Amino acid sequence: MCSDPNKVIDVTKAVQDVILRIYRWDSSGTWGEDGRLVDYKVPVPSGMTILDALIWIKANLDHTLSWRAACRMGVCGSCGMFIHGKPLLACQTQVLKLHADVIEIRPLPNYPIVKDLVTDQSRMIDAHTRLRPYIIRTGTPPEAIAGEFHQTEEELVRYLQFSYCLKCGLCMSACPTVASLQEFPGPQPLGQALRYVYDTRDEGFAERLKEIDNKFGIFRCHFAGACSEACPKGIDPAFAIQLLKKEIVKRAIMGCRVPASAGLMPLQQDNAVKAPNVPAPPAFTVEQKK
Amino acid sequence: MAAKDNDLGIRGWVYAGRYSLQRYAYTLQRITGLGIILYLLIHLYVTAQKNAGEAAWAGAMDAVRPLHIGEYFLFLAIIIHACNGFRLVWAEFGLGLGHPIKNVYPYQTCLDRNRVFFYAILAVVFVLAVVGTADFFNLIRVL
Amino acid sequence: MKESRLWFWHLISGLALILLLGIHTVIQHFDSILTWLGFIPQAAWQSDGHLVGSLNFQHAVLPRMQSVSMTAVYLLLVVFGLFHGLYGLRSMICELKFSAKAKQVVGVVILIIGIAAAVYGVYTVLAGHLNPPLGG
Repeated sequence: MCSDPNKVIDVTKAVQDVILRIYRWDSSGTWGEDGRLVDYKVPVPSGMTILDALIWIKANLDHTLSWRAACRMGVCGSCGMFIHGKPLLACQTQVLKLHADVIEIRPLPNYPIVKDLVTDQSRMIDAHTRLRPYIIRTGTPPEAIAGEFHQTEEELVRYLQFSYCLKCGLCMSACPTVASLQEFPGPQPLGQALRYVYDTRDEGFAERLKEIDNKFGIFRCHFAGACSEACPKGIDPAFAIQLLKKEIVKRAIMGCRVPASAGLMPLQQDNAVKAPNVPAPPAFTVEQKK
Repeated sequence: MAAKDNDLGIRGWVYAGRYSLQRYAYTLQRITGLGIILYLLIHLYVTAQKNAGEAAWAGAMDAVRPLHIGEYFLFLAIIIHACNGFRLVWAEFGLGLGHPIKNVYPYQTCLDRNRVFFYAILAVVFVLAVVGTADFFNLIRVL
Repeated sequence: MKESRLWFWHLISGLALILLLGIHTVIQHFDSILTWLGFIPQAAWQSDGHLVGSLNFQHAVLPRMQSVSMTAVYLLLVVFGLFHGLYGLRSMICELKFSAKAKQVVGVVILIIGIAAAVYGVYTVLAGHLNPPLGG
């Protein structure tokens, strides 16, 4: 953090030259069958991120360099790369904060490489889709739900941190089981499965259990915890997976009763009975026409 | 477009990047577990020779005597695997990891909440290793 | 059996093994420490040629194998140890890169090895209990 908040940092003035050693590969064999690491010397001003450095390289040194990026502010999850030995978001990693003269940048491990730093994320997306990442209400079709569900603050906090997933895929790169077992869903899909299991509106535990209670499912996780270290959004997928194992033990093995799912709030009527703990709506600020 | 395979494979079990000690405790758990199960299968056979009479037992002991130092490494493997395993049993039942929170930057993870337990386990492993080393190499003399 | 149940017993057997192996290791190999802690008297050879105060295997196997509780500990050790170890081995093999069909075959092989080793181990323990080796 800046010790002097009034100090102006000249971001156009390079503070240090840093070599970015970037993995290059394409399917036409330009860089060899196995690809290779290529050095690019970048003049780095204070505050420059890895993404800024890649853009500078593309503009000034090598226009063939490819990577994925979109929002450049850490909310889209597109720019995941293996930077200096850890999977990181390029837009959220400042070059000078790595304290290295040579920074190696590789595409995220455990995904097939399309070109240079661009990887094929379909393994994660397919596994995520298979685990049904949506509210499942058994017996009630979505169009028949004509109101809001009731959920307390405590019930919300129980799954809230897991709902911020960007699908950036850094956790999948960190996981040792994903590295060797193709059929393993991975920390992202399993973490998101818990996000829905813990959501009181959802009734789809049994459906999801079929996908995860098998030889290659959730029990191939051994709490290495690297996924939680890699996650840039504090999702803590390792925690989610262990909580999901606890739910499986409680519900599937010990036969504990599944708590009733969230009910619908009554539709707003003038004489409607209010749901407990719901504050009254604020007064109208605009005069209502009767 | 053809894509290049980029899975770390079994190398990903051993080293996958600059992660914390808890990530590599997983690697050690696997290696020690493998060593222990291989030993167990041999141990069942060797110990059963006690039932087969003095000659068979003496023969079995003669056969394993050159591997005596292996018993020391087995002891270390057992204490590491058992102590770390105790931590893992708690964690995999979802205990000792805290509760879901409104996670605000700088983010806290369950590994942070588990770290004290982890260091306590390391301390227990160290103490048992010292005691066991003293016993194995006869640093505590009895007879 | 469903994977969740196998995994559940893998963890429970792990916990049980910590206790059982603790007993086994202490009794088999730590008589010197038990003496130092004062739980057993200092080991000494008696004039009639037998050793007192030591839990060393060669000298105390007769009373130990006769006791029902120690036999029970050994039986549980054999069963839990083999289950925990072989399930761990099978899970490590399942996580490697080869075909799912071959993994199924490996799983069956491990099951057969496990059952054979368990039968052999249980037989050994019971044989020792019912017909203790003569002369220690």
